[in-house]
Amino acid sequence: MDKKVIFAVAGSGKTTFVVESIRPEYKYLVLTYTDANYDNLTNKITAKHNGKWPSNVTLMTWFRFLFRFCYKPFLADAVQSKGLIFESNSNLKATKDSLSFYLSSNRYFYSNRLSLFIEKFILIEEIKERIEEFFDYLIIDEVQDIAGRDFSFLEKIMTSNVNMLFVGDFYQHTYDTSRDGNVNQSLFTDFVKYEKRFENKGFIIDDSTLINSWRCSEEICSFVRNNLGIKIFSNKVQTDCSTIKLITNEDEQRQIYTDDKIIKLHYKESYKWGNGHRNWGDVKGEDCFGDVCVFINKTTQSLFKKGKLMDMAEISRNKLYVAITRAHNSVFFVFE
Amino acid sequence: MNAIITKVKLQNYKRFTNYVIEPNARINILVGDNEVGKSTVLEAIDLVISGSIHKVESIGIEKLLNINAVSNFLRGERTFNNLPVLRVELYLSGEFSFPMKGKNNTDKKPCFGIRLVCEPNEDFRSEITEMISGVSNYFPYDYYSIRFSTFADEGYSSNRRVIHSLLIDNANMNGEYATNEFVRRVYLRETQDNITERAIHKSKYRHLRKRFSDMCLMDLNDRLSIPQATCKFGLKTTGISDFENDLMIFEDDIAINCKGMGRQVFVKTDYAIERSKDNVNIVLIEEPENHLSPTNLRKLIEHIGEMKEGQLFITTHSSEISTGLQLRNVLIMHSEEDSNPIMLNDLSDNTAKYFIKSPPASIVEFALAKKSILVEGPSEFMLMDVFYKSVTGNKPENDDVHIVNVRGLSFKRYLEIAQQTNCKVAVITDNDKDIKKNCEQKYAEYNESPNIRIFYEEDADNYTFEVAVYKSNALLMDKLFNNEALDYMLNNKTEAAFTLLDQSDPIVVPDYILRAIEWIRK
Repeated sequence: MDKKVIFAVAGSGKTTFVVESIRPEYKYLVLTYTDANYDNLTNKITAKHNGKWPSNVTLMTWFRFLFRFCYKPFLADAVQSKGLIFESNSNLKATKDSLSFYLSSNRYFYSNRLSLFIEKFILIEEIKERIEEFFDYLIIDEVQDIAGRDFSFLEKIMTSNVNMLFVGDFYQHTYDTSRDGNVNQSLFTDFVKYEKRFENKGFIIDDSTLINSWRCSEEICSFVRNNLGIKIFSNKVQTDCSTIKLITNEDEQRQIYTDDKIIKLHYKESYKWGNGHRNWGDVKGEDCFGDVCVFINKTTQSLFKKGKLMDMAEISRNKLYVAITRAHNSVFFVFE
Repeated sequence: MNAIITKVKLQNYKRFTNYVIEPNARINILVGDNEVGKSTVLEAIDLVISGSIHKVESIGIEKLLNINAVSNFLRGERTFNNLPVLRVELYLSGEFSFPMKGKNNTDKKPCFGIRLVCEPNEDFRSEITEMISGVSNYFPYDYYSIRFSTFADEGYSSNRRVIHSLLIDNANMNGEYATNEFVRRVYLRETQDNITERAIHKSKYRHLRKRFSDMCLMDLNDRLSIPQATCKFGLKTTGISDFENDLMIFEDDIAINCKGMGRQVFVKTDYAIERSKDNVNIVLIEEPENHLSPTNLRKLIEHIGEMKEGQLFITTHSSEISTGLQLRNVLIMHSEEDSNPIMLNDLSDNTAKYFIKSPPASIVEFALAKKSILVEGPSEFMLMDVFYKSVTGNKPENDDVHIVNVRGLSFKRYLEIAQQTNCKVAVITDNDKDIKKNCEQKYAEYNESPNIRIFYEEDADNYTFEVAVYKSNALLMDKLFNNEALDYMLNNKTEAAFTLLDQSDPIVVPDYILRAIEWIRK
């Protein structure tokens, strides 16, 4: 069995790599976490196959996989759940052996506990057999999105007897929706330890194939390397027009501010700023920005000045990384 | 795609409370008395494959849900959880994808399959609970939900079909409906991969009808001068299904609904068999013997026998069909509630061949009978009614006893079936002067079967039926047949039997036959 996890950087063509790896003679199960990337993969796979969906490929979001592929075939009649809710269980007294730990009173699964429910009430061997019966390959795109109890579950099915190709960007872990208490809390603090979790399951680690960005210039990449401590290099031919700099001059700031073509990215609460403003983390996976204006809030400003952005809280650092690496062209920092 | 049904489970469906059939992969001949539910099985299969909630609704839950289950509920503890649930499960084998496989079935094993479940709707739990707890005999049919799904609990509907069936209902064929329905299904099946074609047909047809009204009826409508009225002639419409309603299949330029019933059976069956290769996996045929002459029936059997792919379910009362399509494909359905059908596919090769070569008319009847007496010659057969009546005062058919004349001493072939069906069988045989060889050793293998017993004359001198009858009734026989009566009887067996039937003096029943009759009645 060929099992590989590729750690990539922003703009290195992860999704394209996934789409290109699909061959007609095998059956693929392709999973991804977010709806946005699900749509993205749908479009790219369809485009690759002349506008038709290839019959040997099954694409699902992570939660659809858990609910439809793992839970329903085994326990739909017995449990009769109606779906998922993306919130935490407020009933703190429920214990892991009771359904109320996993299921709301109107029979919706708490999303962060569905994978544990499956581990507890369905034999993991049966899930693995099901994957093996219907697929030759398990592909997971944006594997770094899978966290919390979901990661524990993923580790269990990693031993399935099918080929696996996981692709992700450790530093683009910006979601925390899988979090449940302190389960796998420190999973994303140490890249080496994270890689080890895959290695332990027989995965080959590849952190060299996809570390060159087709999107960002070397100037931007070196800023990220030096300030955020993330190994990213550029595949682009050196041009003069790409810069990355702090804008302090008020005239220039106004000019950027009024230029609709420049996307403005904030740490949070971008809705307060109106149209054309988005949050750092929300633009993950998007690939259509030329120039990007990144707003730095008060708390981050001092770290920015000291060149110690890598000391930010990991989720915030990752979101900033996402924001900066959206730029095909230039990045302008502006202090809020 | 080679999909077949490996198991059918019916729960609280019509007359069945809990019924399981594990059909053969190719041919299944359902035989059984009237009202044992042969057609019900076919309908259930067709209904589940159709995935049509509309169909279930138009039949009505109250007609589908088992009556006993309903009355038991009303008599028992009326709680929401005690409400009966209707289930039809089709276990499948074939090349399916993962949404077809799961453990949501009553076997609780991961299998491919689809199912129909009608159960009280959980969302109305409190309303239902309130209504059923009253004193009235209200049953909440209206609160039942209808759901088609796969064993992975994925929704299943007619446009997501993974398996196709074609039901040919010859029993109710005189209805125009059956033919229209057949034509409609054939049309839908042939256009299933080309929905655009259907749309074009329908819209062009609407167009054509409108043109006809506009052009041809114009003069007439102009002449109609109803004062101030806007009334005029036109073609009536019954909605968008006009096209399908008017569609008919033609064979040699003659519409099949204008042909004789017999021919219609042929056309339909032939279609089903031809299409069994690609478009139809499951062919369901009801009573093909209806409307057919013996010759045509034989032809039809030949056609069906030529069917190379697909799974066939056929209901019949005809022995010829059962034997012609191989007796081992027969599933015998009993009238006893919920006793699962008996499969004759466990018959030995020799027995199967025997019945195929010389299909006795009585074979299916024998398999269905609860009690049978097997005799080995026409004279025994003729006199058995009289003997039975003189012992019991009853006719055999009133006691559900079936008398079968087995020529050529093929008792063992029948007994092999009896071992499957568990029906009670008394064998009446001659000892032919060697009790040990002809009666004891020959049938030793049935000593362990409580439903089978062999009866023979225990005196080796009474070596055959005529001798036994003569010895028990010497005076009467001498009177009837004069001197050398026994010789006459032995040389003219059937003639002698006729004479005995015609006269009115009581006949003493030979002891071994008396014992047989008394045993079978018990």
